[in-house]
Amino acid sequence: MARQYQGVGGAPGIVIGRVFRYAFSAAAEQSAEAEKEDAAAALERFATAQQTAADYLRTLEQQLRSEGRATEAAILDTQALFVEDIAISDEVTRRVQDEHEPLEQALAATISQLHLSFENIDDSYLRERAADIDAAGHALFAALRGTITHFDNLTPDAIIVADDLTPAETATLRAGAVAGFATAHGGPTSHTAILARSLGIPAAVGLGDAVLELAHGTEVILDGSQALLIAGPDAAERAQWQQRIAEQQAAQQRQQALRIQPGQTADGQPVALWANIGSPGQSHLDEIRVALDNGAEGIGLFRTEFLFLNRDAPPDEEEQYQVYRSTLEAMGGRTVVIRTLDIGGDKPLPYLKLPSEANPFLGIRGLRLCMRHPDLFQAQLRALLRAAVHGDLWIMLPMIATPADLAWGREQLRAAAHSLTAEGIEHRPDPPLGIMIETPAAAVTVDLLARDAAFLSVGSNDLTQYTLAADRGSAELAADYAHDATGVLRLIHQAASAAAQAGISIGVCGDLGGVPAVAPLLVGMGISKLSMAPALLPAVKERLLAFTLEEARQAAQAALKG
Amino acid sequence: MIMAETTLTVTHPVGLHARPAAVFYRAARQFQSRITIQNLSRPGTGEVQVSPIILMQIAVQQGHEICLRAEGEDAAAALAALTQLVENNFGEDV
Repeated sequence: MARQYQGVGGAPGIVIGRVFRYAFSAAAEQSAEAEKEDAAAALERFATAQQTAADYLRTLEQQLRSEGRATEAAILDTQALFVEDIAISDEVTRRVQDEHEPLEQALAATISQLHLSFENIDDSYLRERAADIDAAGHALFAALRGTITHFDNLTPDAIIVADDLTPAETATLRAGAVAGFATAHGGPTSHTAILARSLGIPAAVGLGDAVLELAHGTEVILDGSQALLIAGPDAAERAQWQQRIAEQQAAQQRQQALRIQPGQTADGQPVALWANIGSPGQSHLDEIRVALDNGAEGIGLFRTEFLFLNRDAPPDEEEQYQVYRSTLEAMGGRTVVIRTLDIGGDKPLPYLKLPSEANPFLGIRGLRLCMRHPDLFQAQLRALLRAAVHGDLWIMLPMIATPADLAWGREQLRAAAHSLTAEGIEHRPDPPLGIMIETPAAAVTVDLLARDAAFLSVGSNDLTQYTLAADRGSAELAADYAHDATGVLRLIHQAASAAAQAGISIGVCGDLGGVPAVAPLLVGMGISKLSMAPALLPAVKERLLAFTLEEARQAAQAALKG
Repeated sequence: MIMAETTLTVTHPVGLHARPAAVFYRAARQFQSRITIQNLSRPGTGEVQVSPIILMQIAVQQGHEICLRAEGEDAAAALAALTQLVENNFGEDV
């Protein structure tokens, strides 16, 4: 009898594969022989495991470093130090030698004890390191089992089943090396989901704890579009799904044929189809390649946060300039919308002393954080203005709630241009400056904001969470408070109508823009640009071609009635 | 057996974790002496051995005062090297 697990989001694609268990909890398995071994033998086994785990992590580190991914490499270097740390080995030794605990039990207890000690530290950065301790524990258990569970040993039909994956873990994965992801936790906008979409790997997230009970090697069917996982299918089911996979492949071929054609409705109304890039752990140039392969006509959202995360000091102007310039050059004259740093208390940066906030999503984040760190913001704006001479760069400000927010950003951009002029440094002083529409306040004051903004882009993920008062990371709420809720659609419609009146363009760069069933509705409301994860572009393009502009308008009107 | 001890203030903005902790640990490992550290600015943490995880546990932040002790033949050299590292912000421009 097949079992079904329903998740809350994921990345599109259907695959049939085998469960690849990736979890710390698998540690509890302990062979009867291991329980009888003496302390000396157990500790020798442990020392070997430490060496194996450290060697493995260092090999991975070298590999990442040779690919120019220094940030991810540094994370793995720290992990390698952790698996050999005396904080772990001393406690394991004490438990095995003095308490006569079996090795696996001693290690599990040591890791959870260390995990707790970090969770209780009054420093948010260090508290987050509890996850690093778990990762070190995981590497040690993998080495002890002497079996797989390194991503190294993945087979192409592997469907990784895990609690959740960290950016460090996902950093080691490549499309083609794995069939899919299925996680117990995380919402539609979790790291795993975003990353899987940008890599083009099918995924389902938020499947619930029950999914963690699936045994390694179980045959499963994963449908990322429906966030569905089916374990132990019978022959009839398997045949049925194989049929769907064939249909999916046929659709991909049809969509591939549309690749070079620009986005438009059935009657030729153009809709710019752009890609979102800037996922943590990914090379932006790799992402651009995938975007262009999928027919992206521009970059509608380049998230710059990844440049600032997982490091001890902020990237300087020169480093940022090189990244922005290489992006513009890789896009060969196509529009690139770069969003300035959008970060807050939920993602602490060790080099900024961020106060810990009860509600980081309602606190000092995005532009508000930049207001408190003008040097950081100036370095980014200067890098952007310098890069702007190498292509069609648009600058986008996040977290705008009032016209004063925008005025501040505008003034900062002017100051950055003045300082570059004064220093005689080549730059473009006046690239288009636009804003994200992600607060309900911005959505209902587009008439005021349009006076000083060159373009608008609806950030539907945040707009949804702020409008419905539903945490975007909550798997439990995701199903009932969807991004296409009538309240959210009406706000987008209101913003689009005001933008049309003011004569400025408005796009959508949140997840909503990449849902084929919703895309025509957005176009019918007056949205002229849709930006999404590259893998979603072909299906959206095909869907838009099924509607005339008038049909899209009618569909929008029907949806707005609720 | 030689014993040496010194008290220092950490000025690196990150404190003594992340990269500085790894640099500090690798330097300490070069010496034969047994090296311990105590975060004097965090009452309740004791004198502990130096390792990347333990350094994070005692959560030394910018401005914290630490006490370093070394015990062994090369104790004086060890303390001199570690003191220099802390005072030079672990070789980084900050």
